[in-house]
Amino acid sequence: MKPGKLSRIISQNLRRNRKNLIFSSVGIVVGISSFFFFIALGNGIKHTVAKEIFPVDANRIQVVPRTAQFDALAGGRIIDDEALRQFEETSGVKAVYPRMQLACLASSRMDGRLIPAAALSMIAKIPGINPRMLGAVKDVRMWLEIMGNGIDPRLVQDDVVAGRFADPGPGQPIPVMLSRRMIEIYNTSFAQARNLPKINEMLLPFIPPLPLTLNHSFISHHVKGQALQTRMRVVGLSHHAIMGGISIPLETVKKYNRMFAGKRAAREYDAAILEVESSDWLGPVQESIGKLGFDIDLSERRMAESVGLIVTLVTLGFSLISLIIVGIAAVNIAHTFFMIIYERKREIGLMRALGASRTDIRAIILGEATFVGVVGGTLGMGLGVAACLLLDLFVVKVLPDFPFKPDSFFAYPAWLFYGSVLFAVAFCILGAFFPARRAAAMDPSAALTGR
Amino acid sequence: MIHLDHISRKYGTGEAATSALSDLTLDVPAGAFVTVVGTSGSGKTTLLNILGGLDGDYSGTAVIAGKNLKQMNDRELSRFRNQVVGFVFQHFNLLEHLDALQNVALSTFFSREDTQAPERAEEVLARVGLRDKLRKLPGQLSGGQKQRVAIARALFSRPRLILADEPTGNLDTNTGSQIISLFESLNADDGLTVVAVTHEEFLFKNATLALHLEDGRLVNGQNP
Ligand SMILES: Nc1ncnc2c1ncn2[C@@H]1O[C@H](COP(=O)(O)OP(=O)(O)O)[C@@H](O)[C@H]1O
Ligand SMILES: [Mg+2]
Repeated sequence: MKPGKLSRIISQNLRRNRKNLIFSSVGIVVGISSFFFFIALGNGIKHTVAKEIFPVDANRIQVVPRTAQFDALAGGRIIDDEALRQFEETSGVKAVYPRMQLACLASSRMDGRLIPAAALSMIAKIPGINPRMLGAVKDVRMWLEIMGNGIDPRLVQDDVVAGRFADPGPGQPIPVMLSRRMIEIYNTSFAQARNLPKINEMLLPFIPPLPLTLNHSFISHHVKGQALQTRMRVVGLSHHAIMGGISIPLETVKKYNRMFAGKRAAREYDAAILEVESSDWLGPVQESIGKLGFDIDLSERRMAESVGLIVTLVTLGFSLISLIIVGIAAVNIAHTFFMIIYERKREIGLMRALGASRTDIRAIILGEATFVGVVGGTLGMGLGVAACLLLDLFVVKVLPDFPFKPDSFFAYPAWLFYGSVLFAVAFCILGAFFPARRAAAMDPSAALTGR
Repeated sequence: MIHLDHISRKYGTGEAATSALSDLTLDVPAGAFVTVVGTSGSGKTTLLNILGGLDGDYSGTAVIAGKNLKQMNDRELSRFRNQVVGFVFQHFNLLEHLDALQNVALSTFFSREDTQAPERAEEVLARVGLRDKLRKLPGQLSGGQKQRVAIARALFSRPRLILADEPTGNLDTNTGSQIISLFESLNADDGLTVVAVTHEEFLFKNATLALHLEDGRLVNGQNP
């Protein structure tokens, strides 16, 4: 049968059976819309987890010294320059980014009254900063114990937005990277409750250098030697910065460790991040590193993986429910089509007498089902999109900020759009398959005499 | 036009099998006008279905318009029904949602040719005397008019053989005889071979061959 003729006869039939078909495609619409909704939700949440909460670079692993209790047995070693060299030489390793903890204690005493008037008037000009916030900033009196961690500047280069992240010259403020995760929590709880401005990358250039005292603590009184007054300047936010503290250039940490804790402290790294050539290398590199006498710290990755897994499972569960709805709808479609061909028995016999082949009859029935699928799938998809947008709107407008609150809970992979329609079509065709087969197999002479 | 050689048709199997046609042999030349009579259940419809390629479950050989039906697959048989034969039924079998023109042109959906469907439909409707009823739905037509539409539908794709199964069975005598005249004209003026099943044999005065079926057997095949 020619496609043009086929589509004309299909449209004739569809018009005639409009009511039946609309009724039986409701299930398809509902199923597909919930399918769309849950897949988009699962994807969106996974996206948020992967980008904001547990950003894990698939090609990076963290190497740490082997835990002390097994030292003797397993030949554990410290991470020093020699170890870094060995890491670099390990096949599959593309880059090595060492980390070193600041060995001395540090503190900061922030006093809003000490912020220069010039800096305050600059802050006042930033959009979103209101006079009340400015007042709150002036009222700040904060005594902070500070943990420091030295990181390889190459690791955070892309995240630097206000100045340079490298060991500063003498007398210059120390550049600092802060953890995105930490700032997110500060913004959505701490800042909110105290009416302090939220910190974001736009604000960073306006934050004046803050005081920092090295080799000093508000808590411990066993600090030997002289304290060193200096300043720090926040130059960027990064996922590579540590959660509870400040991340500063590795060289700076080495310098102060040598100064306050001795040579050994300036030689010993506490971790190194290895970037592998490709994820295929993860296994082999882990093995080589183990043989060298080091451990791999997988806690972040495990956490991300288990959260990802939970999200995937929940999404899968809901999608399955949606597919069951669509499946039931397909049974409904089958029912409708059995009814339709029963009603049209004589007509099918007549069409056979007028020259329709079995294939033609099957094509007509399946064509009708395809149309129902396309329409049902498109409507379902539209309904799904609408539901997603509505929920986003509700969350953005109505719910207060909470940590990691995304701009959207949904992510829409391209396949989801045509996939929804294809699913609907597939299920409709599945539903119409047996009715179509029966219609095609019908004995035309019997159908015509109404037997 | 029609060559039947030892045609038998059974329904069911074993004990329960009924023989709808038994050992039927028949030769009908092109241009003939054949009537088929017989009591209800004598196998008349079964015979027409075999002739028209609607029923292939028979034994024996049927060659219609030079084609051995047994040797054709579903596609070829469908094309044969589309192009070579035209069916007319007792119950008209018009589609209620289509008007006369659309009903008549229905077979164009299943033909490979791009027939000028509306023009051809109008032409055949004029031929059966319904030039002024083109846009009427079946519900708006009388019984005789419906059967004329059905005949026009059978004529649409220029078949050579018309198979009519009790075409006057649902009509009053007067209307019935008008329909019969139409068939006679199609036979005489348009040269179509006609096979008509009927109870009212006496109405077909110009039949060239009158077949009498009894329990699926041909009782006589004489020229009246
Ligand atoms: N589809 C069928 N299934 C079973 N038996 C049938 C079928 N069609 C016809 N028959 C039987 O075959 C015989 C001939 O039927 P048919 O050709 O319809 O007779 P007629 O048209 O002369 O009334 C009857 O006994 C009828 O019951
Ligand atoms: Mg009959």
